[in-house]
Amino acid sequence: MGEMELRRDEELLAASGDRPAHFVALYYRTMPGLLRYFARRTLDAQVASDLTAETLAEAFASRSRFRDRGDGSATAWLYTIARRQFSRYLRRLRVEDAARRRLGMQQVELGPEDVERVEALIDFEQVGRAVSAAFDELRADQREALRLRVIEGRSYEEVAAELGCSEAVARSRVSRGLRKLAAELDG
Amino acid sequence: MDAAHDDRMIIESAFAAAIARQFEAAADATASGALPARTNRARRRLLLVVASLAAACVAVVVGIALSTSHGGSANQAVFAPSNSAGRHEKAPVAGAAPSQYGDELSEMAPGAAGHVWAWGVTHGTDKDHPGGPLLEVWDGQRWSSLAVPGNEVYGVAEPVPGDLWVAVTRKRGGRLAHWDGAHWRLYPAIGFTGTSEVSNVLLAFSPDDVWAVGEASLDPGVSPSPENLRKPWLKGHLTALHWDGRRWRSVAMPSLGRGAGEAYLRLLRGSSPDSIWALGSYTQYRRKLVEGKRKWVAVDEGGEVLLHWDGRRWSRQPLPTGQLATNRRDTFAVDDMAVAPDGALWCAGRRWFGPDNKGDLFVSVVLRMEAGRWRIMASSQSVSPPGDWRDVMVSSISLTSGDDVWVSGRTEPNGDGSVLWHWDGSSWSVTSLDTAQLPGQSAASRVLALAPDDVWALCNGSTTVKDGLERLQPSFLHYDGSAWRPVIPPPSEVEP
Repeated sequence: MGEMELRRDEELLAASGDRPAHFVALYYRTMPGLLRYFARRTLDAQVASDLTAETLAEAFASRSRFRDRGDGSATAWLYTIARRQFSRYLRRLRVEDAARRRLGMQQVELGPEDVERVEALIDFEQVGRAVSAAFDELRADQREALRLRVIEGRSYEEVAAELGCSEAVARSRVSRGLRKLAAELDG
Repeated sequence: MDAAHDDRMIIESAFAAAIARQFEAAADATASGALPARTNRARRRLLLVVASLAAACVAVVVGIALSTSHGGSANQAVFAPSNSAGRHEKAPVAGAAPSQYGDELSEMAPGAAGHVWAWGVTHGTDKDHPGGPLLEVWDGQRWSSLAVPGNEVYGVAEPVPGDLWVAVTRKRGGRLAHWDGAHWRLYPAIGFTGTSEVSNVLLAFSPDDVWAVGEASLDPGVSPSPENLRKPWLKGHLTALHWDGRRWRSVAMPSLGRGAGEAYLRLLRGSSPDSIWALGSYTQYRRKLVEGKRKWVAVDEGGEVLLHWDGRRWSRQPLPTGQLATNRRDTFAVDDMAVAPDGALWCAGRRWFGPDNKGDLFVSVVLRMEAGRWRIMASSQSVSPPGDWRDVMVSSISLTSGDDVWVSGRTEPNGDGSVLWHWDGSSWSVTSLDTAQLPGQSAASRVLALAPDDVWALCNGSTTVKDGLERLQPSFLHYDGSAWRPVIPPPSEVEP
């Protein structure tokens, strides 16, 4: 066996089937990227760290099913598991722990310093800039309706009064604005 | 601050090291053989203990040892006594001490001749008791556990006694394992790779009419990199497998469209051969410019798909969110389904209100779809179980008719109160299950209604054995039409 650090992710993953210790090296390599992936989607440091640990635990449990195709496939494989974990989280609003429990792993609580470090990954400034740029792209009536409803937290009745339109129109402006905003951020 | 710097900060952080230590312990434990069903030892001597299921027969106990070479083969059968594993008194491996051990059941399904099947996992304690898949059967008198030729169980179907299908994962992916009363035979299958997500992927109406769903990929090891979108299964193709009595055939399902990848079906329910429903998920990709290159990028991980088989073809069906949502953030999520004899689909799940309603909250809901129209039959607001209605989380649904529907749930946040909702055709009633008579701290997780006077509630309990170590033990409550009585299966042999 050569230097562990010199191995490609795929080789580490493949070798970890018989030599599980290699998985720890893979953990350190892939964990920050996965954490960033989850942190930007959940905007919650603890949830992101739980999802990361669960994803890697699931990867560990099914590592023998991984096939090296020599095309950067380890990353893609890991992110498939990650996306699935995230979709489960979206559906249940709860992080699963089945894979971790099978390995005898427990949830690791983040300390205040940890939370700070994970939040640094989110890059709120960039997210904020993207939202604000997308917001500026909105039609004026939608922008105003969104500002009143979401930023100022007014009721639809108040939004409608302020904009001089019916409540139904206010609702539709807000929902169209939100949809547009989401599309802009995706695009 | 650049990304590399952030990564270093993360790697050096306390929690990253704490998680790494847990992986080290798990890796050590796996190397020394302490973890379930991955070990050479487990592969070498996987004892398959199967009680004969013929209703009138004396139980015949058979064991099959799988050969160890490259994935093993179920054909090399030898006989072994059922209790050969014996009892061990060893302490858990140092550094890999599990926080929990014992049995945990996650699903139930009806079988033939009054059988009830339940499956889950045994959490191991040490290398002599590595744990593994757990399959239990109720024969009308008692629960007993059987060994299965795989690592995890994702579905069970038994069209007639002595004809048993079990969806399992093995080292090389998903397999459909068939027990013909004497031997196991393994058939290749679409992969079952989710651990906690896929719950029941098998459904049988007769020995020559069995359905299986799972991942669309025929090779679960293929990396689904966006560049692989050329592959048919990443173009949004879903697959179902059908057993006609002689072979498994792939049956075409509607495409999810371009850019829909990683599609898989996780739940299969039906009431008759021409009324079957499948629920699944996928990831939506879109072409985007990334650093000057056009690439496929995942844009939505939460894609959901509902499919219906009418006896001739599979068709895509509307999801509840599309019809019932009152605003963009109002979202319905289905956790479990049941199909009524009249063909109506009943679902238990969650409705999540965005900030457009009264704060960020979600409630449990029961939904019904008939002729393409969704209706809300109940929500935890309308049913008002004991305690705070906001805190009930429904987990499963089962019915014998449109006038006899059961829904199981837990009261959060502790998750220790168990409730059942029952619909009698005109109104809902609530039963608080008395789980104090069950082992440990038990809570109901599934309900299975076989007849109005034959209903099972599956509970999973845990007892703190010592500091930081819990013993898991499943148990059941059975309803005979008048009262709920505890039925406690014998624990598997794992003991630290």
